Amino acid sequence: MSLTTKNGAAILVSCLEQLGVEYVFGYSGGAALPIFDALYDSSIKLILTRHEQGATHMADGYARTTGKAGVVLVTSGPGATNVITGALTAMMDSVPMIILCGQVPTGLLGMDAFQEADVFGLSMPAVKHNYLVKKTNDVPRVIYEAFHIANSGRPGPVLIDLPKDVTSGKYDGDFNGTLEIPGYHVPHQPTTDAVKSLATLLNKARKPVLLVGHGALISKAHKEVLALAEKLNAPVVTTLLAKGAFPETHPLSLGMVGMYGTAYANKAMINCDLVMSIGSRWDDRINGNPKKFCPNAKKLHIDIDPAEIGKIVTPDAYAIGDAKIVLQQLLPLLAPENTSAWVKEVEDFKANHPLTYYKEGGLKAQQVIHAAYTASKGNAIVTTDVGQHQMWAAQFYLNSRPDTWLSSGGAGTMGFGFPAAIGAQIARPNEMVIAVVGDGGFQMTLSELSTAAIHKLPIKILVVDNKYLGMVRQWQELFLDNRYSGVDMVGNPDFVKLAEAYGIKAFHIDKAENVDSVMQQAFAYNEGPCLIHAEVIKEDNVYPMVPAGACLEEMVICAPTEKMAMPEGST
Amino acid sequence: MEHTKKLSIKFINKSGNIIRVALVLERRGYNIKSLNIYPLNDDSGYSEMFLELRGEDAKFDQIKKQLAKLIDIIEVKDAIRAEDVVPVVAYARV
Repeated sequence: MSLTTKNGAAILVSCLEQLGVEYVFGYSGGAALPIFDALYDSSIKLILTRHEQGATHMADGYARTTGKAGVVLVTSGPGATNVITGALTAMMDSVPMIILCGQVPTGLLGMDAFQEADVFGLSMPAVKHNYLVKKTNDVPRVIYEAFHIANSGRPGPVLIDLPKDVTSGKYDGDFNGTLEIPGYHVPHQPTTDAVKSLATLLNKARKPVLLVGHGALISKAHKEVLALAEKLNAPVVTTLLAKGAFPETHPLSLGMVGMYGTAYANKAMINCDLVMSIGSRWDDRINGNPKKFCPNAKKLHIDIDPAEIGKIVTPDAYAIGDAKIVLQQLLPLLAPENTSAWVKEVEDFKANHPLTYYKEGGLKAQQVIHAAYTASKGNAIVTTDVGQHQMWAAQFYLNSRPDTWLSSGGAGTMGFGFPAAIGAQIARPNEMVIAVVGDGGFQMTLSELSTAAIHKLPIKILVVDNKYLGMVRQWQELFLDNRYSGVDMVGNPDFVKLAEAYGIKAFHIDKAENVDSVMQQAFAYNEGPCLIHAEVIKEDNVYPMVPAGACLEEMVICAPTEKMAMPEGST
Repeated sequence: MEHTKKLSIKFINKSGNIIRVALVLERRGYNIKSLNIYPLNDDSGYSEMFLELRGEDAKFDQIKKQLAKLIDIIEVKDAIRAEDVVPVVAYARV
């Protein structure tokens, strides 16, 4: 590597180019000046955002869509602290991301210098790993290590704090590609005995269910999941994040499981005799009460992260490894029982408890989302924010391809959906991208309307506006005697005028009979972003619902007639 | 149930790594009763930290896995020898 005549920032940018980075999402500032200067001569395209949080979610959307680490570049102090939410979002959902932060010169560290923040300390619990680089000659090694750590094993964000004297200092090192991370091991290959133990239990199961999680998407195991489901003739449920890992239009698909999952997915979990998690961590959205979870079932677990085995559910058998490799080794060992009676039982669950909603009484969010599904022929990349609209989108937009559903699951980050759509659209310029957002979350990151407009990204921004923080309101209605506190979005802007102020085409819907025609018009517009402002009824609830901390048997399928007790679990 | 546990952690002694260990323990409700750190007497350049901890027994195995997951941690193991936690120091009058 001939790196000898460059400063630290130029070396940094050279490394990014060598690592195949196409885009950097960032916001400039004093301490990052050398890095922005180095980008000026680079082939890497800089996407200037309007807020650092937006940059992180764009990088996140890019990463979830492509499987490649998204790269963020910000300055020190508040620039760096503004990335913490995006780092946490990526960390909780195992998304590869590199966050480059400018920092005050090393001689001023800890001196309360202008725009100094200890982002190394601040970010520690929100990242897979982080670095504070103190020598220019360490820059290339740290960059290569960071990308390796972010992309491998269970992916995650890696933050690199880069003092200004490090990036402006002369590089005279001789980095030869050697990484110095002896404590980092990725267990890709499962043991033979582990895979056999899974097969032994699977071959005895008469009522199996496959619980597919985000890990299956990360390892690109969707073909193996399909082959496994069909070989076992086993119903498949997915977590929120794994939508698309198994075609939701497939007869064996039961859709999303858990707190707002389909009734039939949850009933299958209650009645199965075996459940195998493929890259899901049995989290509290699907398993509110671990003591009563799938009471009659053997639990099998496939995960690349050893720390997930036994964290929430103690499995009867497990394999630590890459989901794709585990499934490839597992498939030849399978000689399953006949499960047709079980599949019939599950089909009856579907027939008796279909996913539905009341169509009378004003415009419903579910209808709007279903219309978006129809208008896009079910083939779009869909991003969401967090709340009721997210759950309705999960229920009514069926994903049939991997990497087409982008939602903040673990962190539940409001403001994620729209910038994530920008990242996805940049990554996949020829695909349709829909951002389904609520009026609350959209207002957290809507400054990125500029970013979308400048780059003429043909994103369809579907603002599901019920003028409430609807999910919190739903809980206050059901559990707190309608004492609505801190949920009224009074003062919402006119979203159509707002979009137009950014030069963005906008549409408005408030009547059920206009939904399809407006959606067709909006989806036919591809000159740049367009916003569809859907004013839906203010008070509607997401069902089915499993109260937090409850077991799946306590699922509420439709509006309760009696007051419910406040749940004990995490909301 | 809560009992005292003893851990030995071999790690790369870069600044920040003690905080990473402490953050995992804090998050899982563990309290550090004692902490000693020594450079290893070999060519590895690693250090070893010995911890006496108090926290829920049921969480302990999983916490060890979470610690082992930290990038700069080389090895996490139970410290069973008394001298792992309280180093033997000989005082001699000269």
